[in-house]
Amino acid sequence: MVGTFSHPGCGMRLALKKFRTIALCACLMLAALLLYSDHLRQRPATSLFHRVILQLTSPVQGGVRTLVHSTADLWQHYLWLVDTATENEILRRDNRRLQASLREFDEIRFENQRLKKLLDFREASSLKALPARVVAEDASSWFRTILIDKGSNDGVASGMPVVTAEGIVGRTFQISDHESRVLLVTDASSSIATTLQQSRSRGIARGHGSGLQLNYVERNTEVSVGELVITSGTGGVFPKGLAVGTVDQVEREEFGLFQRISMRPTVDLTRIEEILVLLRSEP
Amino acid sequence: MKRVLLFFLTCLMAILIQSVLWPAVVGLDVKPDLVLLLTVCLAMAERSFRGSFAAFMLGSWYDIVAGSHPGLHGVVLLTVYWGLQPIATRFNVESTVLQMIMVGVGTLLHAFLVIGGGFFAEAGGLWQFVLMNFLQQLLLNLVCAVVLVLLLRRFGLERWFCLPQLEKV
Repeated sequence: MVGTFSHPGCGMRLALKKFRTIALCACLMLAALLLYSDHLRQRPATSLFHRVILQLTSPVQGGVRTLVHSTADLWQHYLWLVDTATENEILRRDNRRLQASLREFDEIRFENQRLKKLLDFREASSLKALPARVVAEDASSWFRTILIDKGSNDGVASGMPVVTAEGIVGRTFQISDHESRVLLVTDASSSIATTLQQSRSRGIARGHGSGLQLNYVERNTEVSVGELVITSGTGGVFPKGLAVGTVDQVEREEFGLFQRISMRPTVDLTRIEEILVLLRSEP
Repeated sequence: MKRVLLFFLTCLMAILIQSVLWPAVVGLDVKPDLVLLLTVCLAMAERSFRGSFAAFMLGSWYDIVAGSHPGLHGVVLLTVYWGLQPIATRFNVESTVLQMIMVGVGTLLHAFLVIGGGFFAEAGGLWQFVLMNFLQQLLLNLVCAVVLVLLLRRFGLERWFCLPQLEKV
């Protein structure tokens, strides 16, 4: 009977051995949760792990992207020319129409320049812009980010605006030495302070995957479909007057303070290849 | 060592397909979640702390190429791995139907956890977007899983991934 009793420490060791895997797994989950929580609190900072993996992964992504695009170019330019004649005709027609518009816009541009001088507005060219190439898109279906080939060595820092000639693309986050990731305006985490160009009413544009939603525009404001929405410059990231999107749909419910406005981004975010990072933007 | 290298290369290939090849060739917003399928494979092949650690590392790597909330996928894929473990240990995972059920459950769990994680990160409309595209994502994941199973069977690569021998149709 006495022989069946063992040392008290032995039972403890057995219990530890039995639950070792569970304890290790619990520690792992705790570590994962702590990491996530830490990242949520210090969002602009990019950890060493992220920097290293970004630097290791992006050259491979860039190489594969170049290979895919070269193959696609070869196919489209030399092998697949079925629609070229029709396309040429459409392009000639568009060219004539655009030349007419251009003459009209020149006049508006000159007028705009005079007004800008008069009001002492800052010229857009005073913003130092860094051209960059898109290397890869977000790997997940639920988020909207891109990877670009410029990083902290080129002067890019977290929270800088990213634009194209058509309008805003997003803002930078997670910066490594030679690469940065850009949070697109259509991502659910993105929100931008905006102004409706005609009514001058302000609102917050939030991304929802494929488009944008314009929130907090008062119910009695007249908003028309196709109206341009620009940055208001009050958010602290984007300079004033950059195109964000055009109004796609306006819904007014019977009650409520605000109207529901859907927007389409002015930049085709599914087809961007080159972008500009505004290095010193002053809202 | 060979298995670790194979796992690393498979992860890299999955990430390249999702972030570069799929957008350039297909151009659809909804992409097949090959990293999630890899986690499902992991749940079938590994039943120890090693599997949990691999799932967490996979999620941490995924965080660098997907989303704007570092740490989210680490938690999500680790939880998906644990969520699939009871199915993998209690049922006959050699059945292709059950494997597809695991992919379905994995996709559902993944979407649910991303929505949950998104609330903590103040990602306002993420839940609407995930719910709107969930069916497309599920369908795409299932189609990809079927294609992968057929390819693995065709080339006899189940052993390489330490998967149970897939049943013959």
